[in-house]
Amino acid sequence: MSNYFEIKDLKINFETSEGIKNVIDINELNLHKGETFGIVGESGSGKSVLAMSILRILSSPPALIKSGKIMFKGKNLLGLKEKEIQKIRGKEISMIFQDPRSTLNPVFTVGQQIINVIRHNKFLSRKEAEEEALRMIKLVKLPDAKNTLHKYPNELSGGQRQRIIIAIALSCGAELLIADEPTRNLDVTIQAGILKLINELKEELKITVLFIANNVNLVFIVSSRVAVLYKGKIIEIGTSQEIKEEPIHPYTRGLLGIVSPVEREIKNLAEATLKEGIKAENSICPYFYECKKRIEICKKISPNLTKVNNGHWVSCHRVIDREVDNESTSISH
Amino acid sequence: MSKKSNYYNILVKRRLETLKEYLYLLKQNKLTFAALIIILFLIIISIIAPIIAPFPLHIYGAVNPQDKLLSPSWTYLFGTDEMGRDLFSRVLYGTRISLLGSLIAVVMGLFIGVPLGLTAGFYGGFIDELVMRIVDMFLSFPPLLLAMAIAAFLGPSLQNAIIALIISWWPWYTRLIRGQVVSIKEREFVRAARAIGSPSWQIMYKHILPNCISPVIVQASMDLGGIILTLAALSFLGLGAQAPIPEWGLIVNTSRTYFLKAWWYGIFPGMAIFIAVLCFNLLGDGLREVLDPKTKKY
Repeated sequence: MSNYFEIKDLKINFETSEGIKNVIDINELNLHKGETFGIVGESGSGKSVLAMSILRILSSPPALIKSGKIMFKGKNLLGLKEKEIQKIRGKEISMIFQDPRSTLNPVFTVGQQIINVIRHNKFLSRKEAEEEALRMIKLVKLPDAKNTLHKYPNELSGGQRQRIIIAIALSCGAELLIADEPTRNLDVTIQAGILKLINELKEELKITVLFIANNVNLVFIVSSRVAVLYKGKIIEIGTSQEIKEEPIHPYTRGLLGIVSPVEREIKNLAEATLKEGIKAENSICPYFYECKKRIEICKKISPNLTKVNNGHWVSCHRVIDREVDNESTSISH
Repeated sequence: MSKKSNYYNILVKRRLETLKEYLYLLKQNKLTFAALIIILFLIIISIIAPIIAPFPLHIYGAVNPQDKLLSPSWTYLFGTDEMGRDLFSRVLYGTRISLLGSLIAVVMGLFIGVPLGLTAGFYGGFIDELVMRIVDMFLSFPPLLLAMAIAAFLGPSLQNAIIALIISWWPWYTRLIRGQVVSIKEREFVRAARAIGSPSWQIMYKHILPNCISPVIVQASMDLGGIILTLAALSFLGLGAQAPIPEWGLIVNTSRTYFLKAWWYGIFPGMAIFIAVLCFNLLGDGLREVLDPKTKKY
């Protein structure tokens, strides 16, 4: 079971004129079949890059996959040829994107787009594809499916469009759905509707969902396990409940608002670098500059994921001595 | 519903509605609408020219020396030329040559230019560099000058003039569409199409092309006029259509000798060129207004 979907030693760099920047550095990440796995992180933490690297749709001049494996049902997605990965896209792994407003092609009706995808992937006749499209639209619980088929994307609301996008994404029988901030730019009630839909579809179609968001609470609602991404590294991973109730990493605690909001000391970065005499950028904890609980070792060695208990891992030096835990009562307000 | 599925009936209906809306918008602009009517009129003329021409034999070789250089009359509406041929028949037939010539040139230009621009913009990198540098090479010459050089090289004839026009016109479309593609391929729906497993050709022709075709349509409709003018210019310079062919530019050229004696000889074919080019330009402007959301007035 554990090797249904697996990311190993994935390193992705962005190589630009300003230099090489490491955006993803993940040692290990497992998805179990049938679960909803959440990835949380602030914007710029590499969530979308991670999602796109799975389907290999990162545009490649800036992004460069340095090393690593993404194993899906025994196949290394990163090692596949373009033709082979195309057979996986849509049919086995599908993806929905951040902005429903721009994910549909404005010049075609919704029906044309669904039918086109279905016909291309399943080789059905027009009539069959049309029925399939109607079925998909009903599946995502849009009322009045017949009329919806004939609407152009600009005639639909954001929530309706996102439902159509989900319908398209699932129309070819994908069993792993990557949802890259599917509720961004939608208002709260519609967000709830989409989350509910994703949950229901997951049960109904027995799919696995990789849910990516920058809002921790959203992720807790839908997913059974959660990983916290910070600067491309997983800093904490565990079941939703555990992370919600007992977050350990200082950053996660900041996200959850247990400690007072993290004061970003961005202007102090350079200062701190000088003062602390840090030399090699790579060997410090990624959270070092912002962390209020940094200790001497944090600037020397980047921490690895350490097991806290079964299924809960954290990469922080202080957890090893359980210092963070001890202080927790005194810090929370 | 019977055999044909209901879905496609409604789809066709919606398409017709869109077309109707465009027509309505075109009608709003009186000038454009007038241009459209005149162009339709010219097209009809070009189709039935040999039938309605009062002297079909005069279109090509016939010589009629006793009637040479007669001023316009009811028999000869536009007068006659130095060989006694009816200018009205010749100008009528010239419509066909000019319209067909420029249509062929534009369509072929699109056939070459659009796929190249699409490929260059979509794949980027080396292909892009290669195609665009070749395009730059062509664009560094003024189009008329390049067409003249090519026509002179190929030898003066109507076909060669059209080939020369195609060769000097396609790079404009390539550049135009490439710029559009580069911006549209970064849009989310293109990425989504890739994520759902669409192959590259489908993304290029189904998702990107329909989204960047409207400026090309506008450009092409204006070029129809521009190419009529250039074709006439080539013929005027002796690099295009040759002697008996009733090409407008060629008629204007031969009329130069008789300009003081017979004003009608050059004026009427000149007017024909003027009207055709003006109408295509007006239509292009109108289409731009309809197709480009930035200039929509309603």
